[in-house]
Amino acid sequence: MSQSYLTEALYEVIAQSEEEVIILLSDASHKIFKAHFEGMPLLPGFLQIDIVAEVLNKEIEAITSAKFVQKVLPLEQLTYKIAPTKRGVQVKASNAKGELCGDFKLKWSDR
Amino acid sequence: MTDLNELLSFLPQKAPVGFVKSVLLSDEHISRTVVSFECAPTLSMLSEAGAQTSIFLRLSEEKKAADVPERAMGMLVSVKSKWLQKTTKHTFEVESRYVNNLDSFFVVEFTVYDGDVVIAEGQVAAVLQRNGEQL
Repeated sequence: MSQSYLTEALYEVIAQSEEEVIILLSDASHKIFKAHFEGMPLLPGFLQIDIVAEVLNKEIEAITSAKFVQKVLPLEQLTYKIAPTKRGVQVKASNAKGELCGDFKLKWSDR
Repeated sequence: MTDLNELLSFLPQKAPVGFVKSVLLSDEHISRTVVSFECAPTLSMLSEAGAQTSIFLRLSEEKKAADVPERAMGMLVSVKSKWLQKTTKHTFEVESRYVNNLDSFFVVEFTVYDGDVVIAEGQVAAVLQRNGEQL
């Protein structure tokens, strides 16, 4: 797994398999949270997608649909559940309370 | 006439998440920007650039009349996008156009150009917020 200039030190991988990825986000002092947004740190939606692709060494070919349901805050643990579909994968990201944060239908390939 | 690059102060995302480097066009129907990344972007990063470009769509008279503030933030609620041609370049132009423009909700289509070549396209939907609350 190689991290990008945006995700370096942004998260720690707690567990990973092809079906599930669990990560813990950094605190609000990370440059991403300072930039998005000043005084209201939130994980940008696009990084919810890029993090799981990065951990699994995937390259996203198409975002068939991505729904951002719940704000994701610093120090939150995110659990991604990955399930194959006819046309790609469905990835659901939930926080430690079990609340759905993002629901993504993606086409991806190995890097 | 407003200097288009004065509009950059409207962008709530700051570096390194603020991808828009200059504003080329800003009216009620279309906005166009130059976006730049420190590496070859992912499709997600280009989609975010499409969303950020939509910030430079001018408020319609209807929204102004409804007291929607110029600096209302659009919180992303959905995205769909695809690559048309992958690239290793770092700088592109992005155009955003309204598909739907309701009171506190809008949908825009975006197109990412490398010169004259379209490399990615998609659609983003967002709700307008002020101080974290939906308008």
